[in-house]
Amino acid sequence: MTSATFDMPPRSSGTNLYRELGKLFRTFPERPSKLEINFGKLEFIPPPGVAFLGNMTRWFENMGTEVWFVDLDIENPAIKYLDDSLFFEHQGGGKLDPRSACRNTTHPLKNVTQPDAHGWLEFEFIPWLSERSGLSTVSLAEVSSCIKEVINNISDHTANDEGYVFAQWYPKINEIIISIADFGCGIRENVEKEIPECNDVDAILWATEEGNSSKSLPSNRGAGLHYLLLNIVLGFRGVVYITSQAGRVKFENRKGNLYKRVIGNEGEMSSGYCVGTSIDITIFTDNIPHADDEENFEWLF
Amino acid sequence: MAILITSLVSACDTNVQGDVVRNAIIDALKSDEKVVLDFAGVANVTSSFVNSALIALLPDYDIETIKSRIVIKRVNRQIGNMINRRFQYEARA
Repeated sequence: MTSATFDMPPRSSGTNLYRELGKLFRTFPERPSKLEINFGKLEFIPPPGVAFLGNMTRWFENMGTEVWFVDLDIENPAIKYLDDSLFFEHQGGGKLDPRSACRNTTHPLKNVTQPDAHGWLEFEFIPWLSERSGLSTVSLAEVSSCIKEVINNISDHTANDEGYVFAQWYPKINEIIISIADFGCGIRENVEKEIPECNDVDAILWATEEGNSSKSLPSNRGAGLHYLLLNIVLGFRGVVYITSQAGRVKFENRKGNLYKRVIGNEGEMSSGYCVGTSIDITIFTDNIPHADDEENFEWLF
Repeated sequence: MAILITSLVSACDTNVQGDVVRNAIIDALKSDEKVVLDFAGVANVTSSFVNSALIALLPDYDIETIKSRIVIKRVNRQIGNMINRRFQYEARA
């Protein structure tokens, strides 16, 4: 029996957890049979970290690894945040503190599987965001559609059809962070059908170009991830991170242009690792313009 | 002839839902009338839906025929932009 420890970094952002998991896999190329996730040093965990951690935990458990959470101090504000976010309850262990309750500004970790995912988004998540942001659901139609594109990708391209969403609203700055993670095969496995022997970064960059599709379904036309970047980054000046296995790329808007920054070392395991694919979206909702319920349509081509 | 999208599908999220709408459009195009696609009550559409409902018409109908025979009405910003963007790309490709 091999036993490993995963130390939650003091600031457990998506990038830091990605790096820490890369270290773990370098030390244990074969998956350990027991994994202790140590929360002793944790000071802060932003939303992408919550989704990453939930997804990673579920992946290890699905692979047969026994996962233990250790050094949990409910007096630690970061642990309290996770408990209030119903993270431990979602992981099947119940709340650490029975008084913990989801905060008004947090949308707890949600397992999104087809066919319920779209309904949850339309009737639960988007109304929640609408109430917090003051934007109508029509004005949030692009946000809703972009999340559906990601959920459709999970369904179309992964075998297990399972993903997690976590969101946090920051009312003082009108910012929403939405993190969606799955533990499917990752983007590269599908892209390799088109670009043999590409690395994970190449695969992410290829998959975000309009028209590039691995044709996991014959009707796929390579529009989903491109549409996400077009709307969230170029349209609403938001930031998107796409992490898939050893690749992590940040997409942001610089003077109206799409700017791509590769995190780490060109998709080598030495920089980090993510089980499956995680997509983290940050939007200042003040950048989302009001939309009317109906607009006149004209063909524009 | 008018096709109320919500009378055919509960949402416009998936390829399967797009297939249902495309089949209705193909039936309607058999007449000489214009086909009105009415999106009243549709919150948003995905690229998967638009690809299956509309872009998949392209092998059988050219773009000018689609523009002249299909009228899109009661769309919000997201739906209108998605339809136009998908056709703009396919027209260039």
